[in-house]
This record gives sequence, structure tokens and C-alpha cells, in this order.
Amino acid sequence: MTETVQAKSGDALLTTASVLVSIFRVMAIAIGSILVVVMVGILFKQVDVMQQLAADKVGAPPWQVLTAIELILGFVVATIACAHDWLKQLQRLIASVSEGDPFAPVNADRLTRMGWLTVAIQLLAIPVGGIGGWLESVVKEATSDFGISLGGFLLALVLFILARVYRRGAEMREELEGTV
Amino acid sequence: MPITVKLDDLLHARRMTLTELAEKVDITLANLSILKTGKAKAMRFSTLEAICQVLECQPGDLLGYQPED
Repeated sequence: MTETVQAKSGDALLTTASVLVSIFRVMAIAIGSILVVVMVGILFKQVDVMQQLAADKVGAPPWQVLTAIELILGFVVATIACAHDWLKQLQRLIASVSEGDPFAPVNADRLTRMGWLTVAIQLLAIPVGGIGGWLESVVKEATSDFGISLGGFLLALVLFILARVYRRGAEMREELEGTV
Repeated sequence: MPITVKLDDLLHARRMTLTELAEKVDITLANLSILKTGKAKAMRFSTLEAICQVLECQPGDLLGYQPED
């Protein structure tokens, strides 16, 4: 009886997680696509944008501000791509737990990949934070709160350690499968 | 693997089938087949005990060691 209740609550957790991750993936694709469109749009309308920037009397040459905006957009799109891949790995991990076979070498690889993606996201935040800070100083309306976070690096560490746990778990499982 | 399982010989000597042994030792036929065909990687003492009890033999009668060349 208790086992059934636990299994049901476990399923609810996995289903909720899977649905949430799916929603986040769709959001990542939507936001990423919008940003790519904005990036391309700015490139096509760069003369107009630079005229507008000049009219707004920004504290730096308009082409520098434009380049900074394009660079930030590029880095943010790269961050979103990493985040999307991270979510994809997580979704596959959740699916393998639902199927009842999580201790597989492929899941250890997924967790390692998620760890490196977390590191990449943190590293991408450095240039975004730097350029954002510069934009904040030259454009009055600009605000930037991007930056490196200790939590992100801790998450990467946890993921790398979990990958080791899963790899060992997969080895133990394989050993157990050959035990009579 | 240098460890050999002589379950086939023991069963033949006792005129017993693998299915009968599976019923008596309460181990699945699939697992006993893995053991018989030498595909098992490890064996529990409880399995060894159950087989030795039913076949009235010693662990040495069931398992052998042949060094690899």
C-alpha cells in the first residue's frame, strides 16, 4: 500500500518535472528565436539605429554601442542555446528515471554534459556582464544585472559529482545483472 | 573466464532437468540458464547453498578452475 502511494507521488514528481522542463524548453526556443530576429533586424537597420543612438546622445560613438548590443545579444543567444541543451539532457534523464533504468552510462554522460554546459553558461555571463556594465555607463536607460554566480559553479560541481555517482551506479548495476 | 560451472554434468548424473532444479531451488530458469552456460559474472552464497542442498554436492563439485593460457 505504502509502496503504491510512494510510486504514485514519485510519478507525479516526474510528470511535473517533465512538463516544467518542456515549458522551459519552449520558452528558451521562443526567446532565442526572438533575439536572433532582433539581432538580424538591427544589422539590416543599422543606419537607422545608429541615427537614433546619435539623436539620443549616448556617451560613446553609436557604432560602438551598436556593436556592444549585437555582442550582448549574441552571447545571450549562445547562453540560451546552452540552457536549452541543458534542459534537453535533463528531460532525457527524467525520462530514464520514469522508465526505471536511470543507472546507465548514458546518464553519467548526460550529467557530465550538463556540468560543462553550466560552466559554459557561467563563462558566457562574464562578457555579457562586462559589456552590459559598459552600456550602462554610456546609455542612460540601460540596466544590466548579468554576472558570474557562485551558485552556478556549485551546481556544475554537483553535476560532475553526480555524474561519477551515476557511472559507479551503472557499473554496480551491470555487475548485479550478471549475478545469479 | 577461468571459473567453470559444471551444472550440466551434475544434472546429467542426477537425471534432473534444469526446470526441475529451478523449481526446487526457487531460482528462475533464466538465471539458472545463465549459470549453466557460464555467462554469470558472480554467484550468491545463497544460490550456491540452495543448489548444493538440492543436488547433494559440495561447491567444488559445481565449480571448477581452469587457468587461461
